[in-house]
Amino acid sequence: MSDLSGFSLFELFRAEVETHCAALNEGLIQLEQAPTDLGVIVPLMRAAHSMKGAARIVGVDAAVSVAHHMEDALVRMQKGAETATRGRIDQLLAGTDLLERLSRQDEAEIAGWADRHRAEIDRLVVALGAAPPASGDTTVTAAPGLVEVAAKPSELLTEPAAIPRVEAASSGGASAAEIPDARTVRVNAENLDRMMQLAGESMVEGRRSPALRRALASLRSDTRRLRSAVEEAVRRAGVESLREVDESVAEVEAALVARIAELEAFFRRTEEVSTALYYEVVGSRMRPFREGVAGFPRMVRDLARKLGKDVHLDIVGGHVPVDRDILARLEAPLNHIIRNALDHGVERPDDRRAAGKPSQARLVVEARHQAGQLLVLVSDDGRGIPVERIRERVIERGMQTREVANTLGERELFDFLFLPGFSTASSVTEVSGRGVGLDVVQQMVTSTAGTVRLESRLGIGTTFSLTLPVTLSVLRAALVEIGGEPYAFPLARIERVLRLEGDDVTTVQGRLQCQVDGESVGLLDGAAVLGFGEASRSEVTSVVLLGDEHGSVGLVVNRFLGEQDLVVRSLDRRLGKVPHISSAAILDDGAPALIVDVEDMLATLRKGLTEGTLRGLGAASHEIHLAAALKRVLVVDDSITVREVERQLLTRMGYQVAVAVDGIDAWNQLRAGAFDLMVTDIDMPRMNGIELVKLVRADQRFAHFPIAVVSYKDREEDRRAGLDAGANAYLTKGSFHDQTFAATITNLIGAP
Amino acid sequence: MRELFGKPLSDADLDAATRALAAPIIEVGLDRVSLLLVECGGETMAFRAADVAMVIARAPRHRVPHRTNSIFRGIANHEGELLLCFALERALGLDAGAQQAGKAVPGSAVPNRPLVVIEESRRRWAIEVDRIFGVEDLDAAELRKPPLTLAAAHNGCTDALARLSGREVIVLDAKALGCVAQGAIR
Repeated sequence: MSDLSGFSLFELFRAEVETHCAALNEGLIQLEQAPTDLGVIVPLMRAAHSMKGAARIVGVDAAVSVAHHMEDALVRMQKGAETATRGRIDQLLAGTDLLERLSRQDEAEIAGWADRHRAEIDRLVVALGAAPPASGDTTVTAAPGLVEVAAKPSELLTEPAAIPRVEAASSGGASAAEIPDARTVRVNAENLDRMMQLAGESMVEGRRSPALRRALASLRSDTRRLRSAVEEAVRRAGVESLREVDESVAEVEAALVARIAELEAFFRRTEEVSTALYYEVVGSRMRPFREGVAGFPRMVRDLARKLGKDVHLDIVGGHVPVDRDILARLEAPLNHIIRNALDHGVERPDDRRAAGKPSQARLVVEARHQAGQLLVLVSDDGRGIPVERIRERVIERGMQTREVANTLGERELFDFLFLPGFSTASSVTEVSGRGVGLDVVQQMVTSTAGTVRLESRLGIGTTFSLTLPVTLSVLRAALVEIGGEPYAFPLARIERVLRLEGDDVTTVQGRLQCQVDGESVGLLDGAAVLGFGEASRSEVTSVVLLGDEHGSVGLVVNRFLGEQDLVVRSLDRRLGKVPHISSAAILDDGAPALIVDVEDMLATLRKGLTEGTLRGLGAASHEIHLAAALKRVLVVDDSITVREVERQLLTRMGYQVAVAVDGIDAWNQLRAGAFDLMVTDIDMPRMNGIELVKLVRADQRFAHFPIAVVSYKDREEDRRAGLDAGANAYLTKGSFHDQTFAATITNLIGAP
Repeated sequence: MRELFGKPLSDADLDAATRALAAPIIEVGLDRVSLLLVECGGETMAFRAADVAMVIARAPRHRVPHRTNSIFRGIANHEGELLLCFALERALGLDAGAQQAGKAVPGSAVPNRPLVVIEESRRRWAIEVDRIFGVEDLDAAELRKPPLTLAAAHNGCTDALARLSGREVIVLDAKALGCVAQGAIR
């Protein structure tokens, strides 16, 4: 399940509307082409129905009304009460556009937007309720569309990531002459990934030859020793027959030496070719840096004008090849840095002149390869960062005492700027100063095992230096065994590995810990963290030390397997984001290994330890993972918004929650895992809630399993149908707003 | 000669043989259908050969943290491709196979059973079975609609019934199986 806790309900509503509108657009056009195909209508009804429910939850009445009338019109079509005329399809498409436009508004602005468009909304609602127009002539005006929204400078400023993507060919300064041969061919991304896999495999295979070389060298030594032994025997015994044996051994040795030399040459060549092939394929993933920064000149121009500043942007190293994944990830951090530079870094022309600087400020974004890494620099010749203001802010916010803060150097103080929510800006502006941004830069850089450095001189300017790997495709990793299977920890992301003796591990309040550089480090069981329960552990000998600025933890593993270069493989997309795991690799023996997402693991461990759902490795094994003892609830609803509301409500109550998107999904999950309660909707695709409840009740294993139905349907016959099917409770979605929902859950399964 | 045939096959030979066995068999004519017979959870079942992309005698596995469950067993490497593996008996809701599914081979956390890789809508699913018998052809007319009791069982994965070598065999619906597999990893 993907973690949606970082999204607001309105963001979820927006995502849901986007999905359903895409389905409506496609389905309505299909319906227009085949008006008698009534099978197309049901998913459209469901889409409108789901949007209505989601809009009701976020309180967007205009969307509830439009979606409701669209659903009604579709229901009439499905029942044969009216036909899918072109005019009606136009109205439904207009409704879809309207819902899309509405959902794209800022949440705080949405009521005002609806008021401003009241006449259009009312016209549409009336038209949808009336008899369908026969032709395409409809009284509903066409939607103005996105262009108008994006063209407003004030709205452009509220969308930090809205940098227009421009093809390299149209980015003006893109000069093919900068690249030796800029001709390109389109390659299917899937094929390219497969080529990467095979080329990587080939390189890994090529590098296995040293082991074979060592074996052959050992065989040659053995042969030499054998020959010496035979020579010695001949010398002592002087037997003629042994002399013949000696000659034969000499011939074998000579032949072996010759073959070894041939094999050496073959191995060398194979390794060279496979490595060259690999780097060529890696090279094919590279895109020129300019493609990732094509939208910045326009953004700098618009923002500078808005702020009353005069700024010239130089992009240096536009031709530098950058891994396409790195390039994609660079966009947001560069966006933030540039916005900060424009808002806080560069001065207004008058101030610059007064400071003896040219009135036009200069901002440089530069990329180059340095020591096998990609270096991206963003420099401005503005006022620089006042270090003393950072120091004061640190003290004001209680992050350090004045005594400690006064001892901090410039670099240490700059580090505070990368903390979430930390800002020295005296006021919040549309452009920056919200205290977000630099922590995003830090997150992106650390997520790729890179580093970020900040240098600033008051009155002279500021430079951000981002050092990133040239590619994300090959990784040097420490291999360990957890729960009998190999896992890889990127070497750049772990502090160290520890081999502990019995005396190194001590117990404090029942928790195991060890000493590292004079500091106590708590120990956690690797298998338990990965959700495989605790391995039986008589002693702790192998520990991977993980840490960040917040502290370290020791992850106890079964054993170390060594270091290895791994070709990184994406995990199958169907798995979604797997907790604690970033990707996979294949080891020399062909076994799959999973690569640990250390940041994700640390964040989860910290959260678990803070919230008490996870405890350190204890002397008593059953104390390790309390989360397993929490009651589990399965939430079933086809609306992402409703699912998330229920998930958050139940999580806040202290339950563990899993989600399913329809009856079939729920039935599979119920049988695959242990749950204490199921909360299900009624109207869902594939298998509805009533069918699901009946199916669950028909299985002896679930005869007494608690089930609560939560539906928009509030008629008595709906309630009766739910309870007759076997549900223990029937609630309407209005119960979210009072204590009924929480009270019913507690009545059914008790406290978490 | 007797000794020659009695000799156990090497892994490579077994792999080659199973690959040959699983090579998509073009159904000859509209009236014939090829079925790949397998055993799982003590029952004999069949995949339509046209749904089968390949058969793998054994492939190294790895569980996936917070995803592996009784149906989804983990990932397996086959020639550089990481396949998602599922226990057939669990996907069909046959509890009889549960013990078999839970039996790991020494040195591995995941049982290394043969895999039938099915492909539907360009998605591949590797299905663990206990044993692979081989391919049999029969007249399409011999495929019978399953009774309602069977169609409703097995999570809706029963597509047809066939009588082969005196045994009643259920023919699996690859698309439905894909849906169950998808549900198990969500």
